[in-house]
Amino acid sequence: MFYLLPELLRQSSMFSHIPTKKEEKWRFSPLGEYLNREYKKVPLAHKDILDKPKEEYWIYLRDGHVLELKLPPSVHVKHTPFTLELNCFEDIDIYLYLDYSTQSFVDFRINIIIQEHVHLSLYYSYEGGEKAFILHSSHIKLEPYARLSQTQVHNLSTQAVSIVENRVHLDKNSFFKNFSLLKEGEYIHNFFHTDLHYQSEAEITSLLLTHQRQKSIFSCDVNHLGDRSTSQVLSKQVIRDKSTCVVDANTLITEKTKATEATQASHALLLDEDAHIHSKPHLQIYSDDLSASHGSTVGELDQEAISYLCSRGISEEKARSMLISAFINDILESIDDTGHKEHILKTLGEDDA
Amino acid sequence: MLKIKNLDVQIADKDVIHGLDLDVKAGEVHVVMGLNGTGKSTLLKAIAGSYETKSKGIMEYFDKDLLSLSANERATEGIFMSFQNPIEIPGVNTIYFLRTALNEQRISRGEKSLSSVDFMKRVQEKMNFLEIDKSILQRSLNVGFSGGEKKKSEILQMMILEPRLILLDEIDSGLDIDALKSVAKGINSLRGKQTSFIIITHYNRLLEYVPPDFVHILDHGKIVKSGNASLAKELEEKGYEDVLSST
Repeated sequence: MFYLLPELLRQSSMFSHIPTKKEEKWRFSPLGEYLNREYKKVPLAHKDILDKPKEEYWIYLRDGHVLELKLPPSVHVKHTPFTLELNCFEDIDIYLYLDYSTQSFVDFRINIIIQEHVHLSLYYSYEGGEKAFILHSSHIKLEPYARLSQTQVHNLSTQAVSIVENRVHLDKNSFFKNFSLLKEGEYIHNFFHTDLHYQSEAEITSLLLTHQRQKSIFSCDVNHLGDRSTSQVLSKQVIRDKSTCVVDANTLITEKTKATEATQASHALLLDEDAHIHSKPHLQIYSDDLSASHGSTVGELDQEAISYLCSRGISEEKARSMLISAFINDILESIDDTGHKEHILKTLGEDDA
Repeated sequence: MLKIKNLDVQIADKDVIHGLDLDVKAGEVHVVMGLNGTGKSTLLKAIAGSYETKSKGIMEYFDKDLLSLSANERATEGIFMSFQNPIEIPGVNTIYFLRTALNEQRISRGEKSLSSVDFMKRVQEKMNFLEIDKSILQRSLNVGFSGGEKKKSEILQMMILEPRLILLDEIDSGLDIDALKSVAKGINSLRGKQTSFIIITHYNRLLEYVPPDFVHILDHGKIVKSGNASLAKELEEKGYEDVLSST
């Protein structure tokens, strides 16, 4: 049974109405182009998992249904179709594999609580979803002194649409580190909404690699609500063909907060004439006791550097690839979890890294 | 090895070299001297196939038409240019760059790529010879290198790639005496019957360590006077104006 998108969106947990370009948050979104498309609800998924994950702890979801999972008792789990709840009481590394059927509409929500002093390492892999429309909402609560290292890899089908919202609440002295890779998919929208309380810290990093006519949007709202909180938002984009990237970062430093540190940076590499970047770094400051900075750069590959590499016998194609890797290497180096990094490098393959 | 006839070169749409002739045989060391802006660097860039240059005329290298080859094809054929100001490339690790360059050249020539062990052996040997600090291998290419380190890095690349025609653009500029000796040692280690050099320098001091076979004076994009090592000494003593006015 197929439904028009507006009908599905109205029933979804993420939208109370159909957003328009008049709303700042949706200004650069191509969502309107999909409103006359039809998608199917997938009530029951195929249960076969072709390749079972090799990691120690994992959850396998298809079209928002948990097919199989392997977790220790220290993680309390509840799941229904399209929802998953995790409550972590001990340090753990969990891999979430999310795949999607052709032309499916999936509205999935995950709630995570990380208990005091617990470190959760979470890896999301989004795959499949030919002509699918995916809504994914993560609500995460870090209790005092909790840590979350999260890696999200969007490697969907080239015709998939995915809107992923991350709402992260950081209690005192907690730490959140995220790395998002937006690689494939026709339109990928990765939202972050982060509330920082006393002495908490957030490092939110994204790497957007777009080609053909893809559109990838990285939106990041950071709210400094307590003293001595720290945030670092960094995004890099490598934009090819006629694709477009949007980086919309907004950091709010509220009144009366003290000793806040906030940085925002966006760096784009445009590889073709028709490639586009919209970068909007934005700081809202209502306090005097802070250190904050923001910056945005847009550039092309350095012809002089290509020429130098070629003068040593390296082909132009290889030289360009080396310089693109050089551009993104530092951001990849920032991934602490070696397992996550290995997956990322495998996903990037020879062409990108 | 290299025959240049009636070469015209433009750089940024400006005519820099006009009707230049030069013949370099295997094993010879040619030195090109001249005032600033006379076209010395442009000549080397044109031979190396830099994207900045547009060349017209005849440039044959082992009977191949050099002008029809791209920069990387020329490098694969054995042409190496050391730059006056080697560019810094953040994020490109020096050891990775060296290995990629060597193996890309070998593969293009139909040879097997060098194994990690053999490659590292070659690198260590050359680094010891040049007395280069091994830490540069793990650093980004030329990033944060001192002037001397950059020049030594160029010589290291030259020794690893083992080219047949070596173009050195002011390799001696900004070097202290020890670094100069080290660079000269590297150059002389490759000197032989099969390898030729075209060296640009402003000073005679490098030539005390690397005696040239020919010295040419370039003026307004043309070789206006050629001689042996004594010409460089004469230039140092009298200056360009006096030497050229007696031509």
